[in-house]
Amino acid sequence: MISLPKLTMIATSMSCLLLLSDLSYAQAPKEVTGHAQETIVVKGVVQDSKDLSPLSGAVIQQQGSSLKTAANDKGAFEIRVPAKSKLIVSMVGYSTIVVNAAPDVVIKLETHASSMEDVVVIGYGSQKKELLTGSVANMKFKEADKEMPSTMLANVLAGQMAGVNVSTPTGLPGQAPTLTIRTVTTFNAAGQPVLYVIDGKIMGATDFNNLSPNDIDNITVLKDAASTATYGSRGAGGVVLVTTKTGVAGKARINYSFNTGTDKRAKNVPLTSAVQAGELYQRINPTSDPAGWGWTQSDIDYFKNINNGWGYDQLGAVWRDPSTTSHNLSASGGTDKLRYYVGGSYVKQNGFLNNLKYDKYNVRANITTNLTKNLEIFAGLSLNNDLTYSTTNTSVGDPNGIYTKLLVWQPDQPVWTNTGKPIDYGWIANVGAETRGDGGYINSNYLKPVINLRGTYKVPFVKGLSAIANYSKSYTDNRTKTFQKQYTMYVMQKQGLHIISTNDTGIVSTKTSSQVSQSYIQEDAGWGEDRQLNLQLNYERAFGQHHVKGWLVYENFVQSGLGMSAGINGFPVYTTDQWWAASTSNAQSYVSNNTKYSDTTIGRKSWVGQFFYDYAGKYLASFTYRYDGSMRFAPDQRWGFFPSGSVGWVISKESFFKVNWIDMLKVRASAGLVGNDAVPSYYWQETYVPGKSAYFGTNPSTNAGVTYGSIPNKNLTWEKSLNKNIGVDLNFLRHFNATAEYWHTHTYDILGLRTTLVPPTFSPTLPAYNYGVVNAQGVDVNLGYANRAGKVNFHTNITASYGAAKYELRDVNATYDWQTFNGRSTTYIAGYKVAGMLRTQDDLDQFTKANPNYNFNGNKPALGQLVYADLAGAGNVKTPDGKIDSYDGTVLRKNNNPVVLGLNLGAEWKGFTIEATFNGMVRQWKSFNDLSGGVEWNRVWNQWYSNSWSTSSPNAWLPKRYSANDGTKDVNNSGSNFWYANASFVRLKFLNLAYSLPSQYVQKIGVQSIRFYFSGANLFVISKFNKKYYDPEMSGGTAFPIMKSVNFGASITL
Amino acid sequence: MKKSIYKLSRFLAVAGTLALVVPACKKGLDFTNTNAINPANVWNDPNMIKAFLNDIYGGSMPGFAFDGNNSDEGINGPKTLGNYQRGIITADVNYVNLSYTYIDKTNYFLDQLSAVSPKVLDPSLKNQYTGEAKFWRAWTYWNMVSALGGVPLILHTQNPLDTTSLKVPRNKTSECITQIMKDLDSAAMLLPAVYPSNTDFGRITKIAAMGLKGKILMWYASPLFNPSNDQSRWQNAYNATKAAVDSAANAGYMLNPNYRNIWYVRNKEMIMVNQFYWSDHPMNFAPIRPLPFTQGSTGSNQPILSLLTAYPKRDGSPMQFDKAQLSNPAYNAQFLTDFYTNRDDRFYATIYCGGTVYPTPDLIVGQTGKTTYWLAFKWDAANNKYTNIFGSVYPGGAQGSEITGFLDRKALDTAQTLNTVSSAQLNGGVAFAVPMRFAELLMNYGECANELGKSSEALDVLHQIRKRANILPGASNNYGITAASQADIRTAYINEKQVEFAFENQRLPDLRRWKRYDILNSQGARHGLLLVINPGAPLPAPTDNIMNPSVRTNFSATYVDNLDGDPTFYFNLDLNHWFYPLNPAQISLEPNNLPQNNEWGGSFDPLQ
Repeated sequence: MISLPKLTMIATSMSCLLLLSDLSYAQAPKEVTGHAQETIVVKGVVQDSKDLSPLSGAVIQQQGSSLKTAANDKGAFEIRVPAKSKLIVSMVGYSTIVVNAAPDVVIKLETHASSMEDVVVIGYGSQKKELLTGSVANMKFKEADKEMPSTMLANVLAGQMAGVNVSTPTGLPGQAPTLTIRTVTTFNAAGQPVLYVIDGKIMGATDFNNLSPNDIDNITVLKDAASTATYGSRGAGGVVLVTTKTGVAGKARINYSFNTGTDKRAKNVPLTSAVQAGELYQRINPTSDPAGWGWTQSDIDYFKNINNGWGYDQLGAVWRDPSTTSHNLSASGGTDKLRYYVGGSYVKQNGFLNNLKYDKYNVRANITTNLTKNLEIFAGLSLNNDLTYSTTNTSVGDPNGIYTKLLVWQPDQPVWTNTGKPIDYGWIANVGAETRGDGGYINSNYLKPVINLRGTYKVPFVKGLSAIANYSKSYTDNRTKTFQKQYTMYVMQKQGLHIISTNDTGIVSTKTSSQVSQSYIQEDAGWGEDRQLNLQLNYERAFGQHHVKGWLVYENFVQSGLGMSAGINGFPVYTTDQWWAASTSNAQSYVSNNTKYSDTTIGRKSWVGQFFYDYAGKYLASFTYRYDGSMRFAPDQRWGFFPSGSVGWVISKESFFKVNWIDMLKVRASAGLVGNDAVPSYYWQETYVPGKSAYFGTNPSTNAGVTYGSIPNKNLTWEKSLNKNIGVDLNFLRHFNATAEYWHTHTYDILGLRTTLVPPTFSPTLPAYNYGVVNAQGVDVNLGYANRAGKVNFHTNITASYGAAKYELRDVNATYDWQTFNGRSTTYIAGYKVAGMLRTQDDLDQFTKANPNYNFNGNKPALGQLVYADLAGAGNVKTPDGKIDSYDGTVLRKNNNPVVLGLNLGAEWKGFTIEATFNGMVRQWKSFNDLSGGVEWNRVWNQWYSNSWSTSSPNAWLPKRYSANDGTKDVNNSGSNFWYANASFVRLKFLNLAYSLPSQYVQKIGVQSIRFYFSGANLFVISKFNKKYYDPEMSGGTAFPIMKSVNFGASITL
Repeated sequence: MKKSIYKLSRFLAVAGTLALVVPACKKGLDFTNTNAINPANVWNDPNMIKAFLNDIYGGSMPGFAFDGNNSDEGINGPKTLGNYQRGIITADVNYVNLSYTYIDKTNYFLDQLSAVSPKVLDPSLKNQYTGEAKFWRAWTYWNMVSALGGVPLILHTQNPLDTTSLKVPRNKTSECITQIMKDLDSAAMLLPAVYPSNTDFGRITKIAAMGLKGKILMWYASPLFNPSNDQSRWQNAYNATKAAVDSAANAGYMLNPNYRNIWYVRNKEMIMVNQFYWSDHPMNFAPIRPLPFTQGSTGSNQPILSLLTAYPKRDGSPMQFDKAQLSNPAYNAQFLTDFYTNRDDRFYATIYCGGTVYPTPDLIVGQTGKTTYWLAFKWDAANNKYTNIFGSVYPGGAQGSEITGFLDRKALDTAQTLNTVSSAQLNGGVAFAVPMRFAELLMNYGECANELGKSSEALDVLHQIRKRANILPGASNNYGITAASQADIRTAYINEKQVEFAFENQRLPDLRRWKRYDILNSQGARHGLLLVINPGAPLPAPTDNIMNPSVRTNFSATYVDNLDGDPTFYFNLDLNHWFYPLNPAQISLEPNNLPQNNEWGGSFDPLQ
């Protein structure tokens, strides 16, 4: 008797053998002859349809015959077949296609949506996708991904992988989105940072975002502990692994691409015009003038003629549509002995202000050589240089602040005279003038070279054993030059408070700006360097059907930095942005510590082991550990052990499995322990720190002070997450693939303040302790479909994820019941509950009669006010006491966990391709309470003008608007359910339309491909919140908005 | 098959051994913390010991508060009358925090200091530091006790590991007073009345300790703490305040002959001083400077009618003001003349009047020389309101949101210029904050004397105070003080203190101490006195000055009833809550040991 599994085994190995032998004898196609029909010699090349890389090993078979051949390492093949026959072209990981035999063909294969044969990078090595048992998402970079109008790499990941959440950043140059993997399961102030690993080197989020998308081959995201335990004490936030491109042996491929595009700003919340602002000011303050900004009717009438009543648009006066242009040049190729990829890119971004630019340069050279049969050397060199040119920020803050200020600022303040001179509108500066550089600049130069050297040695006398030594080093040079100067403003004739002449003839005098007390020049310098050494032993071998694979790694990481700031005030003769021109008086110069780069050294050491086992690719198991040491902790708390394990079962490989429509079915489960060491260094040491100073003496001098630091916590350690993950992978009906995962994470030893441990009479700063517990669970679902209809190839992929975290143990001083954390979701929302609005005198009379003692924190009810549900009394007694105070706050929403959705669509037809990515969040609430604020002497939300309560509009939606100076405003503006709305949205994150010229034409001019494309980002958002207020991903209604970007580009490959 | 399993197990054995053996190397992670001071270098180094005390000074010594808006001294702008002043009060908002940061620092300092060997620190310095630290401990406790009544007394470094020992209940107010007195007596004993070295100027002296003791005992005898008017408390207060004045006088302290210079020149009136000076320790006066001479924050402490008329005339008689008679041109003209030209020194040192030159090196925009700052008003009939004439006198000039026409100029750094981005980049000269001065010691003593019926002592103090203000003694040599009965002298003290200590953060605390919020409530809204240009009169020239009689003829004084501009804004302070509530968020941390004050629904009686 032969058992079923054995049979399957035999069958599998037989088929493998057959396949190999088939290929080997097909090496001599010339032997095949046919006399009956005319034969032709087909010479062709097989390429990846996306990046046109040669597909070495692709099998070309004559339809209806066993005649076949394989493409060589240049993707080229030659086969002699009868004329008019058809060729079947197939390759692992690609969709099989049928082409007509012709003397000269270029065959392009589409990657198959369910390419389980892919090899995925998983940390210190790689694994076949079909053998994976952990939660790993992978994204191979497509042509379209490089064409996204964004300078920040993380944007490309939005909506691509379930459980990988990417926020939409504001459109300011250099703004990076926030990337989180699954749900954050800690309340530690530093959060759960995502770990970025670029070609094996552990780096930061900035390094990740600064990568050029052109240089990237693929990105892997490790989500569960079984996968991230390789990164031990830093794995809890998930890991993003980036693999950059390496050369492929073959003819040199040279690619140049260019794109250029502009951004349009998406909407802010609608604001009041000058006329509305004036009328609203008078409506709010009929008898007083809190800002000395009272409007007369003649003022208002005057502004009816300025921009049709809008008044001076201070933002419009300096705004320009941001634009981005980029150039990318790369070359790759090589021989068996030496392969190379060399790429360079230049991105130029012009920000919304004249004096706001961002240039980014990236250079990368990845060289792989085989020095001997057994020794491979990889050298990766990369250089990133970011140049930021920014306006000064002394008057109203950084460009974000400038944007908001100019957007809302007094509509009666003109920026320029009719010949473009900056007007003194009665302030220390003219912000418009600063945006064009009148006040100087802040320029920074960030330079980061990375050197990555790796040698791989196949130990010749032990089959399957290899050793790797990897040394990488990077330097960070960060310099910021600030030059600020005073400039001339023009004092204009004025009528009353509001009417300022803009005509040059109305210049009364000039005034020197005083946004700085004197012109100065300053340089902030920071220097960092780090090095990582890895020594690794790999082993991979099959013992019959037993297949084992594993590696042991030693890793050592050291990072150090230093920095300082220096400057000189005043320019004695000539004011220019040069040090030689600045004052030579010692009293005018200063030097200080640059807190971003203090003189420190930190380090880590780790031992990693990772082992995989599978039996016939059917029963899978893995075990991973990391033994991690971090200097952040006291010597006896320094080392931690992080184990994980996982198992998988490919049911579809079982012989009893007879479901025709299922191509592959795998179930897997994992469990593991990971840490989060996002903790400041030396919390465990007693210290003294600089304190406040005293000033003594009849010739007074600074008597510097010292004081104690926070109480040390010698037991400080990392927080730990015990994560379990169950997943099912399913390929079905040939074209579908699906993955569903459920995860549960128990995070404990969370670092937090034990607020309730000591009474308020104990004042020293208590250290954070490892004590908190958060439990979280969630699901990630992914469904893909790829097919071909006629000549159209299309694919789609839907991702959805949901995660919910709950506080199990978190200290809080719960003065009021709604402040308690334990047992509540980490996203619960609390506030007052609105019971109604007092719209008429009748309402008010009835209300005061029914609630004689009612007051809101001491305020008696009045017309136009919201009234709140009286839920509790002092001391959290659950009986109403007639008064509304903090005891009456309540949980308005038990949790605010959104479902995060992603949708990718793509289609290809005769060289035309379209790729679109949508992402969205549903089931989410957001507060728009920021709109309740704003001062009425600036522009405010226009609903305050048209839709707020007054005696003449008692049925308006909003309550009465109080002056920003009037404490009574809190009655209406305090956090309540009135100020929350559903903020679900779906955004077209990315759209790419491209056309590649037919290869038969372009090849005639010696070009492999020419591609033109249009791409757009954030083109629209569908959201009620957006319609009524502002984009739900914006931080506030007057914040710098999300940009709609469009660009056009072309790419040529030689 | 068997062979492969054998090979597999051999592999596993090797791998397992490697995995277990290899991680033995655990060294090499001992880096040095370069960002902090090593504790081993602190308590055996006299400079570091001194530096620890410097931090206590730096964190405890008051500066300028600019809080005239809290009482009837000034206004920060329309609708800025606080909820507390409007009687809208709740424990959630009006609480005062227990703040033990500097209690613990002084406790820790005293504990560590006591163990320092004489080889490290000279015993005389050790005594001095002990005295200084005890003063600050008393000072910090008093800040809490004066607001809340008794608080938990903690006098030594606490052990955070023994959490039960940290739970200390509120002590009785009387226990706190006793402990504070103990610290102050000890400080007075250990500290010199005047430091021999000039470099120590500004340190706490014996006189400061005695002065604080007198002040606290006076508070403890006042109606807030002493509703039954226990005379023995007044006797204690009298003894302490008199001792403070006598010791001070013996050590050379006195009223500085020039009132204005108290804040500009080091003088013998300073009992406590916080020296602000360019450029190491600059004070940014932006909040009280007018908009054309500042940026951002502006308009704080604009004097209102009650303060403007509180200053007597130069002969000591009250500055009479009858709003009903303002429509009489002769009355109005005479009033203005008296108002501007016939006041005591303190008026001119404390109040800047629109229509005079503003004390700053800056020039008004478009002007090439020093000109008057025309902060005055005209009636805009079309819009039924008074508008600032500044923009008309100086075309293109930015007129501020100042609404009263008067500004706080006490201690104002007159060398400071417009270029005040932040205190670090400000240009300026000197301005000394004087949290305790000889005049206060004197007036405390005089007030206590009056309460014990020693009216001649009380009146003598008032005369000294007024004499220094250059008020004329008059025929009866009483400097305009006509009060004779105890009650009248008490009122005279209330008035004199308002004037002498305007904008020195004394008015609201004093009114609370006397339980006399009715003085504010009886005023109703905050009233203004506007300088308004007469209908048809020409605009003043930039160099005209309101001190000039011919310029003044173009102006009239005008009464504004409600500067907040809203009938719901008026003084309506609650007369049933005199102590502040403890922060509910602190009570919930320690509900059993920190009962709320009884006025706020709790069980703690601050009068015990």
